[in-house]
Order: sequence, then structure tokens, then C-alpha cells
Amino acid sequence: MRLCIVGIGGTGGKVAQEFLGNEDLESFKLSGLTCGEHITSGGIKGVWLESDENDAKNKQKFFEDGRENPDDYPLYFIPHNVVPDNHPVHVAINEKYGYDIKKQGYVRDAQYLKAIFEIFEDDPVIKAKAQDLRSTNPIFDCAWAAVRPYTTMGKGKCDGVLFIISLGGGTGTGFVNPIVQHIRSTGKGDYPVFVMGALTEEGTASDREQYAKEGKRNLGAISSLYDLLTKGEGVDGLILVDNQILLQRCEGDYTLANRYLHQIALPLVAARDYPGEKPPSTAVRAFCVEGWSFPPILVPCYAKIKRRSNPEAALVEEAFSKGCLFGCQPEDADKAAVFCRGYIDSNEIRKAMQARIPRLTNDQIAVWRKLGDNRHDEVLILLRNPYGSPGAHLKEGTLEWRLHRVMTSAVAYIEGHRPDLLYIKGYSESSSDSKKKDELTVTDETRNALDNYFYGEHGLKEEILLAMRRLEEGEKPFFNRPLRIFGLLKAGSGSAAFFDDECGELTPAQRAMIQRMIQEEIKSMSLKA
Amino acid sequence: MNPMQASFVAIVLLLLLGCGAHLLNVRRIHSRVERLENKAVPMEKLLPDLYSCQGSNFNSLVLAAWILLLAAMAFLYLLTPAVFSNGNYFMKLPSLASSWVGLVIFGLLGYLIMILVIVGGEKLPESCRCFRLAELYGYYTLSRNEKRVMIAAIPLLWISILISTHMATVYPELWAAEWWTAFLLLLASLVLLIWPVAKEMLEGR
Repeated sequence: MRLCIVGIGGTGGKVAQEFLGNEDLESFKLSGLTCGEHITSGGIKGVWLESDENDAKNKQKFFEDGRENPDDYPLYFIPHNVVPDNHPVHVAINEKYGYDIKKQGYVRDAQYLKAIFEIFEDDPVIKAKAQDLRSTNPIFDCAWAAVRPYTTMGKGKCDGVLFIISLGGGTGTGFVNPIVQHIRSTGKGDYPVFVMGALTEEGTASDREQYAKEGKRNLGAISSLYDLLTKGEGVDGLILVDNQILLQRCEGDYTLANRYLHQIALPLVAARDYPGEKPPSTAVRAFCVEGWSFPPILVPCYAKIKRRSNPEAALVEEAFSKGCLFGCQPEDADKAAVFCRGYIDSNEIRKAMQARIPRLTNDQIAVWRKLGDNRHDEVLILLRNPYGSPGAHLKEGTLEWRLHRVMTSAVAYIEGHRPDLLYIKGYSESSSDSKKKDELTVTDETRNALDNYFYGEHGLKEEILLAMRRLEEGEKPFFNRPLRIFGLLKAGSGSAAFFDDECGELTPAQRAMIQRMIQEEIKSMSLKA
Repeated sequence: MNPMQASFVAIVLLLLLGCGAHLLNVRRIHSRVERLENKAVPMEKLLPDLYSCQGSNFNSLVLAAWILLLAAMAFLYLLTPAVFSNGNYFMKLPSLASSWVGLVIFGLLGYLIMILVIVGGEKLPESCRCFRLAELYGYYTLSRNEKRVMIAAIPLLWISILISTHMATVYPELWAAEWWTAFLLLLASLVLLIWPVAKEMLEGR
């Protein structure tokens, strides 16, 4: 398994930095003589996609500007730079929708990039104007073009992609689904794509880091989760990490937290596989998606203990008791992928897992091992969908409890911040004139679309409320209906529908959704029978 | 045996111990993997999976350090008759040794021997590839800081070589303190170079 690490947005970049640090001695002159390459554990490669040029250029020194010298490594890319200032596309989107696609750092709203992607995908006028940029969807094509060379789909060796994002920022998820759609549209339906998403902590601690207050962050997180988990041919697994738990473990130190995320991923990405146990990413993907028609949630549980004889039971116990990075009830998991580092017996790991989660059969536990260092044994368990107990939303420490709280906060934000969400003039809470000047002035068409997306029948608010009920009742999955911002307007239905009645051709999203609905229907029929 | 001769024995013993420890480390990993797999795992199948690249810059520098180590040993023990009274360069080949390129040729000879060892190692069969000097550290987990510390052997060895050269040019005036300084620098370099192997042996028990 050789992954391409794609950090997106501020948080993604910082975590990706930990993964992509050069393990060789760095010397520019010596590298010229030895043809020295940037090497990382497990041969992983990666790139950082960012929306704020100032942050990328002046606030970090790790990633190089890909435009200056493409041979540099590792690189950062600012996808919206592909559209020149005042290009017809830039002007047209601004005039028709009110979005400034050249705005540095974008608008820090989760729905912003979703809207931009839909505009490029659906608006024939914009598509036509973008032709001279050699792409009908230039921003997202350019983002994929930055990743592709490292993958086996380009000339690289990475047989899978791991996106690292913060849920709640806006840039993160905005890029993931469009890139995945590109990968899938090339006919690589089984190219493995995973996402590691960090849910920001409760309270005000990360307000500054994320440029948003808690309610807005929670809405962003839920919108992101919603889009990631309902995309038919979307990602192959969303590895959920709760920043609150992560920071508790790292004593509130963000740098340590980033390092810890790299540490826990080592059993997954490091080199030195056991002979004959080098899993291609497709094998891991196949295991994760098998028997589940939606992108699954994967909760990581990690343990590292000092070398001892027969460490398997202790490792599993430690991982479940202290090492889960998102609240969950392991016994609700329907599968578990176990990545080990050290001298570990696969059968003993399976036994230890079954002792803890009796419902899992041998087929539902996959074990992959690597040789680690000599002092410690490590294990990373990815639990698939470890939720689904009725009433678990009332029990602190469960996935249902945490997400229910985030959803409650998101709904409260939707209800209490209509002017912000619809960009109604004067919506900025800030009293400063400069902030007021930064306010987005969208057109009526966009405002109506957003109104329907958030408040309409089958809109986001309604879907979140439904999802909360599903969590309360222990239903899996809790999100199941893809939503669009602009689709409904074309249909003229006045509701946040997801079918375009006037359009003769189905989009890939619509096709995937129909497939899923049929699968669900067949599933429920067979259950009833 | 005088203390200077004993120091040579100590260096050779340390080198042999390093070799033994490396063999032990690889064998230990092999036997552990076989025990866990419950079947025989051929060494040629295990070694490629066990190996991870440490980077061209590090590899180049560490090989340079090994070459310098041999040169430093030769300069310390073979340029003056203090240790081997019959086997030193100036007595065996006086005209060449005294010429203006004498020391350079002597150093290049050490370099050539080490190159032969490295190239010869590449010819070893797959089941013995762990003894290829160019791959040696690929079987160990090394952080960047550890690599930096190991590479400190290069300046230490250069200082040792310069001191030995100075002693050869001023011989028979020989200061014991100068000789022992050159030896300690050589010893410290050797310790740095075999340290990851020793560490693995001690920690991997």
C-alpha cells in the first residue's frame, strides 16, 4: 500500500507535512551529486492544496511553489490561480452568481466550493467560457492535475490517495468530492481514495484556527460529512478523528497532535511489510467497501506498547480502551481492518478482536502486518461503522452522541443565522468596516438556491433532523440522500430535490443514487422476507 | 603486546563484533518471522521486505565514512613503526612513501580496497544481501537525527587522518598524546558507524 497524501486547507497541509518529511539528509549540493531524492517512510508522496496564497507563500517553508519549479518537492498548489484575474469565467461567475472565485482563502463556508463545483459542472455558459483554460471545470481539474502525477494513474507509484482535511473549514471537503469524481470518471471506479477528516473540538479553542465560530464550524463539518458520506461512487472510507480526543491526548499542543496523526498512520503507511503481506491499496479498499453501498465511516483505534511476549490481547485492549480517536462502541462495528507493526501473530489478533467484538467473523477482520522498531509493538484498528445502537446518542463517548451534538449545533446555526447563510446584506457579525466590505454579495439566483438548499423541503436542515432521528433509533447509515445546491432550481420544483426533471441525461451522482436506492429497496425487501 | 598494538586488536574486535551483531539481528528477525508465520520463510524473500531505503545522501556519506575509516586505520597503524615495526609503509616502500604523492597513493590504496569490498558485496547472493555494505543500514530504523550523528564520523576521521599524517612526517618524534588522540577519534567514528547495529541488538532481545 503506497499512498499519495493530499493535505487540503490549513490543517491538511500541517498534517501532510508530518507524513512527507524527508528522511534523508538534506543537502542541495550533495543531492546534485548523488541524484538524491526526497524519501519518506513507505515511499509515500504527496501534495498540499491550499486556497490562501499568503498562507502558502509566507507562513510555511516546507512546501514549494509548484509554478516556480515543478521539479521541486514537495509542492503546494493554489487551484484557483489557474483562472486569470478578470478572465471571462471569473467575470461571468461573479456577475451571474455573485461568487468571486479568485478570492484568497475563498469564502470560509463549506457550501462555497460545493456551489462553485456545481456551477462549473452544470452551467453551459460558464463551461463554454472556460474552454480556453483547456478544461470545463478548471479549478478542480487543476487540483487533480497536481495530485495525478504521484499516482499510478499518472507516472507515479502511489496506488491510492489519502486526503487529509479538517471537517468544518470549507476548503477541505470542497475539493475531495470533485477530485474523486474525476478519478471515477476516468473509469477507475476501484482506485482507492480515503479521507482522514478531523472534526474540530467543541468550544472556542479552534475558532481562530478555523476562522469560524463553533456553530458555523459544526455546520461546515456536517455539510462536509454529508457530502462525503452520500456520494455514491465517492470515497472508499472516511477515517474520522475527533480533535477533542486528539488534543486531550497531546495536551492541547497542535504540533504534537499533527505528529500523533502521522504516528498512528505508520502501521498503515510505513515500509517493511511482512513477507507476502504487502497489501495493494485496492485490497484495503475492497475490504472497506465490501457489503456497504455508501462510503463507510472508519474509526481509528491505536495502541503502542513496549515489546513483550504475546502482545496481541494487550494491544487490542489498549486500542479500544484508550486509543479510539473518535467516540464509538466497537461492538457495533461491522468490520475491522487491523494494521500491525512489530512481531504480531495474525491469529492471536483475530482472537483478541473476536473476544472484544464477538459478532465479527474471521472474514470480517483483516490483518496486515509490518515489522516495526525493536522497542514497541503497534496496532491501528479501523472499525467500520461502529455505531447503530438505539439510544446511544444519550451515552457520552459514542459516535452517535458526538455527532448528535454537532448536528444539534448545526441545526441551531441554520435556524439562527439565515442572513449569514444566504449572504443577506449586512450579515457580517463583525462591526469593523473592513469585514463588512468583505461581505459576499450573491445574486438572487444564488440566494434562492441556497435558501432551498438549507431551508427547503428535503433541504439540509430537514436532512440533518432526519439523520438525528436515525442516530437516535440506531439506523445505519444516518445520511443517505445526496443534496445539490443548484440542481433544484433548474428543475423549478422549489424544493431541494436531487433529480433534474428537464434534463434528459442523468448525472453520475443521480445514477449512483438511483443504484443505491434500488439496492436499499432490495435489501429492505429481503429483510422483510 | 604494547598498548598501541592492543588498540589495534580492540578496533578489529569491534569491527568483528559489529559484523556478528548484524548477523545476529537479521537472524533474530528471521527466526521471529518464521515462528509467527509457522512456516519456513526463505531469507531471500524476507530481506527485500525488510530493507527500506535510507536515502542517497545518507548512503553516500556513510559509505564515504567507511572508506575514510579504513584509510584512517591504515594511516594510524601503517605509517609509523610504533605498532607494526616491520609492516609500515615508509620501511616497505621508502622511495614511494617519501615522494610528494606518497601519502596520496597510500590513501587511494585504502580507498581502492574499500571500493572492492563494496563492489564485491554487490555480488553476494540474495540470501546474503544484508552483508552488502551499501545496504547495511537499510535493515535498521534510523531517524534523521541519528543519521546526522552518524555522519559526524566523517570530520572525526579526517582529523584522525591529519594527525596520523603529521606523526608520519615528524617521525621519529612521536607524542603519545597525539597518537592516542588519533586513535580515540578513530574509535569514536567506528562506534558511531556500528552504533545502530549494536542498538538493535541490545533493544531487540
